[in-house]
Amino acid sequence: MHDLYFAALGLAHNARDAEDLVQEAYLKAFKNFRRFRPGTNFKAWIYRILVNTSIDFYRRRSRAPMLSALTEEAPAPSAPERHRLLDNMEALDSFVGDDVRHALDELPPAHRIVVLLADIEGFKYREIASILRIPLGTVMSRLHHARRHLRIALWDFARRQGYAGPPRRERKA
Amino acid sequence: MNCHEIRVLADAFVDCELKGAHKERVGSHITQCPACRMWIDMVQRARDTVRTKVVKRPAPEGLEAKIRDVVDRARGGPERG
Repeated sequence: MHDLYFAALGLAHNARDAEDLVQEAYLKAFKNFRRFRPGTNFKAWIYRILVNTSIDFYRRRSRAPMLSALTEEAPAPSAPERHRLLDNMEALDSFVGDDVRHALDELPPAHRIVVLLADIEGFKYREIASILRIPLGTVMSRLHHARRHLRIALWDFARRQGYAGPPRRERKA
Repeated sequence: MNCHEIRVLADAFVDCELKGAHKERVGSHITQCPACRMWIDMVQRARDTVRTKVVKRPAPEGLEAKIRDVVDRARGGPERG
């Protein structure tokens, strides 16, 4: 339940909505439990219900950003990723959990959810494809863009927090 | 494969999600290209930072009881869908 709530926070970006999403997802899982095939991945099944619940939830509230954000491709970061982390990888050691969480919160929802599923929940790509109902190749490219986006956010955060000084060199990617 | 293509595949490579020829091509490229080797190292270290440092926020107290309550009500009521 705690894991699902944490994932719901990533989808909802708002603690009250996250609670509602988890309750609704559990209720749907209970009502549809006969559709779960024993021997298949229960965790992936219930996460898929959570994702579908969040899409329905925001559709009902006419808050389109979440709907399109989860089902459509998020734009790749507009700025090219400079090689700043390459020169300052030790900055990563200074991060504490909340810092990473703040950087994650800065990602668009479609990018945040894919990082959350891959790196926080430890799902394999084929499981993420099944949860988000997107092709395997899309998982691969979305995670690539999402992590690139996240590295930029981590780097910006490290600079703001003073974890990293000015880069020794900055060149165009 | 050029360096740009290698970097596009870097995430799947460090996640052990690349198979067959793609995996071999990335592996063979990075033995000869120090810049891409450094890139792969950066991708892996940034990923591991996320994997190891994020502390999951626990669900608020009372959520479990609320879930039990809605499920119990559904169990007691007429079954739908």
